[in-house]
Amino acid sequence: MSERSSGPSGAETDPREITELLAVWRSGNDQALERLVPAVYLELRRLADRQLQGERAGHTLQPTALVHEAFLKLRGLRDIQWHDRTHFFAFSSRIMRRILVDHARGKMAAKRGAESPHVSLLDSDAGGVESTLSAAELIDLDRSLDRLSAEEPRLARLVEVRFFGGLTVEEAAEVLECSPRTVKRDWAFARAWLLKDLGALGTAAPR
Amino acid sequence: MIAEERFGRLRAAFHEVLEGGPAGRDEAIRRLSGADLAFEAELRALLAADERSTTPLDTPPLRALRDSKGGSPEEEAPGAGAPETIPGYRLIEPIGRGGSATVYLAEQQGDGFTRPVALKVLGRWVDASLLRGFRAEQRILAALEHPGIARLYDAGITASGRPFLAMELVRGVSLVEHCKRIEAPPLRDRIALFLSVLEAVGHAHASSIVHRDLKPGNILVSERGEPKLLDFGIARLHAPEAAGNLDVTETRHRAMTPAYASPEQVRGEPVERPSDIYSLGVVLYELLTGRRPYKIGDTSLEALERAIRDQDPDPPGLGGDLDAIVAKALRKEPEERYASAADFAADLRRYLDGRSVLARRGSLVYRLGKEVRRRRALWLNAALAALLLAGVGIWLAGGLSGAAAVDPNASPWLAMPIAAAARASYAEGLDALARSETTAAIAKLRAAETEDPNQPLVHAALATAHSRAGHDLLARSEGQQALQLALRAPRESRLLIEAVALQTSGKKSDELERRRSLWLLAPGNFEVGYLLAKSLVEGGTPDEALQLAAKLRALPAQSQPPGADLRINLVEAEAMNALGRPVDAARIAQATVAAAKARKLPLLAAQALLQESQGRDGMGQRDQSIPLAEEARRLFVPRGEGGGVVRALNLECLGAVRQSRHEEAERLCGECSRRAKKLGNSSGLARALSNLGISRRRRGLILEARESFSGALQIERQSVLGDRVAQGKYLHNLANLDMDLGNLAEAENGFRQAIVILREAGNQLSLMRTLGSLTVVLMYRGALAEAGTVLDEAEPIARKAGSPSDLANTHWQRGDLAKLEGKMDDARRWYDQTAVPLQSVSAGEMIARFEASRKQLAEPSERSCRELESSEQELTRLGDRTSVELAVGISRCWSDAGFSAQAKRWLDRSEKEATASQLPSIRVEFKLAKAAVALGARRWSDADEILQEAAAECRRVSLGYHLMETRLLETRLALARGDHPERVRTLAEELERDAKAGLFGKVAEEAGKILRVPRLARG
Repeated sequence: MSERSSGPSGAETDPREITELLAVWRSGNDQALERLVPAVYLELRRLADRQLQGERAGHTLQPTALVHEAFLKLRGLRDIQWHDRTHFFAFSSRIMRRILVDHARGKMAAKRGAESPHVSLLDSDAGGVESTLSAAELIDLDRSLDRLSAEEPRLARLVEVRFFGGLTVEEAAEVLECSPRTVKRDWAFARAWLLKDLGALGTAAPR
Repeated sequence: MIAEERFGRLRAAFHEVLEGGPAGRDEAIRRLSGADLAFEAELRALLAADERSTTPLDTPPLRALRDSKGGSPEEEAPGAGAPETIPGYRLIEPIGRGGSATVYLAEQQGDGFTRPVALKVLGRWVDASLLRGFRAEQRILAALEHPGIARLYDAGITASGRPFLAMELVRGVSLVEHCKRIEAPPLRDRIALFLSVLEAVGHAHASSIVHRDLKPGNILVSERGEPKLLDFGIARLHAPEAAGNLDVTETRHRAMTPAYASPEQVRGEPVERPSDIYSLGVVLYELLTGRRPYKIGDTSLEALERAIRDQDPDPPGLGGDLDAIVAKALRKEPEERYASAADFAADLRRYLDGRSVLARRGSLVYRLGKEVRRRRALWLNAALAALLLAGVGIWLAGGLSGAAAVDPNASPWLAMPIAAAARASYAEGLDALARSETTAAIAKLRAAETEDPNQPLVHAALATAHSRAGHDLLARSEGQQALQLALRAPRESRLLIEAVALQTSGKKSDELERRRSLWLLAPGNFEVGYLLAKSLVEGGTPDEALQLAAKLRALPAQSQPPGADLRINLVEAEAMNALGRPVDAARIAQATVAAAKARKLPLLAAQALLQESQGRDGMGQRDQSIPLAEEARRLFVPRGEGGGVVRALNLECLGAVRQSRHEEAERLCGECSRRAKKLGNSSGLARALSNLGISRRRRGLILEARESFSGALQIERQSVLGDRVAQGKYLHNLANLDMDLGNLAEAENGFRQAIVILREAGNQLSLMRTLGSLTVVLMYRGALAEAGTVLDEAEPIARKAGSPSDLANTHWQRGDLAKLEGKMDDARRWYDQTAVPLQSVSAGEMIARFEASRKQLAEPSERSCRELESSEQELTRLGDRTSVELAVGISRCWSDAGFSAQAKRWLDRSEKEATASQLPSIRVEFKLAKAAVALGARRWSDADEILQEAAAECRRVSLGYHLMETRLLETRLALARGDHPERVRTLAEELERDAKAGLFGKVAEEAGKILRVPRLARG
């Protein structure tokens, strides 16, 4: 009972929880990351909602700015010594992935809700884009990445840090604790595999 | 396995070909592929993909964001690439563009004809199986011919692999727009227009084609004022999960427009014709009133969906008949709506003709029936509980085919729809849970979560899975999320989620309350009852759990899932252990182990083994308890049951402690804490530390033990789970150490703190046990009146619980109290009541100690001293630490009975251990025994010196009772030594007064005896 009576603030992630999850994760339990990301993500969303309140409608999420700001503001994360870049990059890449994919989902949903009375064959666009990929493409990529992860988690992690995290080959090598050469090799394969898995993605018009 | 191997081979081949360079590539591919043509094709596809230079994957989205800042979003709208090429069509111009589709004005060029079409290119890629389904569907839709429906001419795949649809080009405005025009048509005309729409929909329905996305935007009105429906049946082509299976249900995430969606659509249930009727009801409402049917405070999708599910529409206010018609179309229950578009139309025509409408006839009955239905829905939701709980519960049943039993699609009334894409994973996850493949279950459920991140059912199941894997923290986190998400669900569904998910939050009393409510809603439901029974055991009322177990056993056979009997057994065994009835617990558990093994239910067997192990431990059969826990652990390990492994290790550790195999105990506890730490299982870690503390305490390593208990307490306090009962127990353990050290004030304080926490947590059994310990401190401190009050609270709890050892304990303490008060007859009576329950549970060690305690009641005599000696032998055999205390007591007995030599012998025997003891009570008792011997031998100065030391120690650690004993000996010494009568009298009078004030009746009586010695009489 007491849990619900606390109202909306009860929805906040317990900062202790994030700290604890981080500790568990860093002690080598990868399961913790699976929980950590949604926990932090919810917190980020809340922060974003707050930021966007009162701003003009149609404001599009700016993931980079949001994440930077959020990391500064987020209770629990702020206190953490991110002395190992490795964990930080892996973590933020995962968060980015989640933000982008979720945003894409939201856009898809919003479109279904929106009306375009004159040319009804169309779904109206809610506007805003932050990716070279369309919302649908991003969601597909997310699924493909899950499939890749089922085959070889390391490769999926590499794609996460390279693609979503925007890390260079050298940075990715550091995060994944391997040589840049291995990163290049693995990236070539993961990229080809994903393109194949995504079907026509590769033949889609280049930008 | 094979898939994994194939992936590895593919990867190796990919690199080998690339590193070989372009020359001889073809040959290399063939060599590596051998006869496996599929492999070769895959490899070639990979290599081809590798050669593509610019793909979206090469530009991280974030960099793209930076690079494209300032660009208008529209310019990068999806699908805005170069124009598609579609054989047989000439694309003229895009006439609209959206996130998932681009529509072109195009010309279809056939054999000798051309016609303008609206060509819609979807933003998805497809594979061969989707394509097959797509084409089949398209043939059905193409057959749909009606003047009110825009024709689907053709469908296929573009050169770039995207599906396209070629449709009749319709020019017009949407229905609602049409009616908003300045010269808005009168009501009757609007209804007439709507009747045409109904006619077209009825035609499609007759061909078993459901629109699924009816909305004003899909109903265009031509310049001639004729309505035309667009996108008939198209909605399902949007659904990606339709791949290879076009019967898959659409969901809210896929292809519907929330404002016009039917309740069943919002719930993610199969969508049939009544759903179209509902959507048309919303359209009619809007057409007639210009508003939509639900008033909602906020505009979120969730609020809208909730309103569609739960809220009655706002009355349109058009008058009784029209209101009734609209309301009938908008009924929540599909079967309550118009049975067909034709019926809907007929009623509207009745209205236009001024006849009474059918909708009104049913409405009173409907309103009356509604309340009944609401209650039924409540009950059904409880049945849903069973379904969900099956996921929690059936894992014990093992062999059950989980997927079949927990298929969420099997319940049309499912209150919280799971996105279709997530269903398969969810069902597989529950199935894996049922088959005790915890790791696989987590992976599956995680996949379901990815598809439907906001589904409380999925999070609740994940919480269960993590909890079983021993990831307490993760379980808690998932549980929290389920609880959060459930806040948006209808009340009953929320109750259900809370009943399941609170188990991970450490809020045991809330959880218990929810489970009780659920049981009230669904009193015949096995799973609900089972969960409640488990809560009752953990919540400290195992007696109620036993009653409930009996009810569950009496349920009709068809209400009991497979393995139900054994699960009831298990709950009973747990309850018996909690009640301190280890003999019963071990008996039930043993039978359960055998049955579970025979029925090939290894996890159930493992759980039962733990209970049997605990029971044997309680019976003092430690040699048997450890192998049982080991066997349980061997069953848990390969099944990823981390929580079970930690519990088993903790039991093994405790067993080793009880057998005084302390090195073994250190090793086992260490192993246990390592595992618990790795899992993030803080409660297991805390318990391991606490067990270590118990081991150290038994070895007399009080300071080290304190460290362990403090650590356990701290972990439990800092843990987000914060198990209050465990905290209370660790506080209790710490206070025990203070008792050992003779820090009675601190001990009292500690017990009181623990009592506050346990009272608040509502765990009656733990509360009663801590009250018992407080009684002991109070007795030591000499606060006998308060000790009696505390016992008055503890005793009824023990009696109600029917726990023999606890009841024996309270009676024993009553006896001790009576003894201290000098009421020997009362003491004897209480002791007599103690013996019976103790024997019924054959708690060997406890019985021996109790017997010794009972024998000490007797007046010191040669016989009573000899009996005490035999008790001591028994206790030593059982490895009980308290036998030192008894040895000292035996020495006192001999000297009080006047046998100095025997007294001296026992004194010498216990000296080394007693003087080295960290326990001040033992040291003081030893000193008192020594003083008594010196007194008997008339060595006055020795006696005096020893008594002064003892008194100082008693004062230092506030041992009130022992101080009384010391002063009694001092008074006796003064009397025997022949001190001045005035001094002896003063000593005796003060002692009598203090003893009476402290209710130490026995001491007061002895002091009174001294005062009555003739030599001291005044005058």
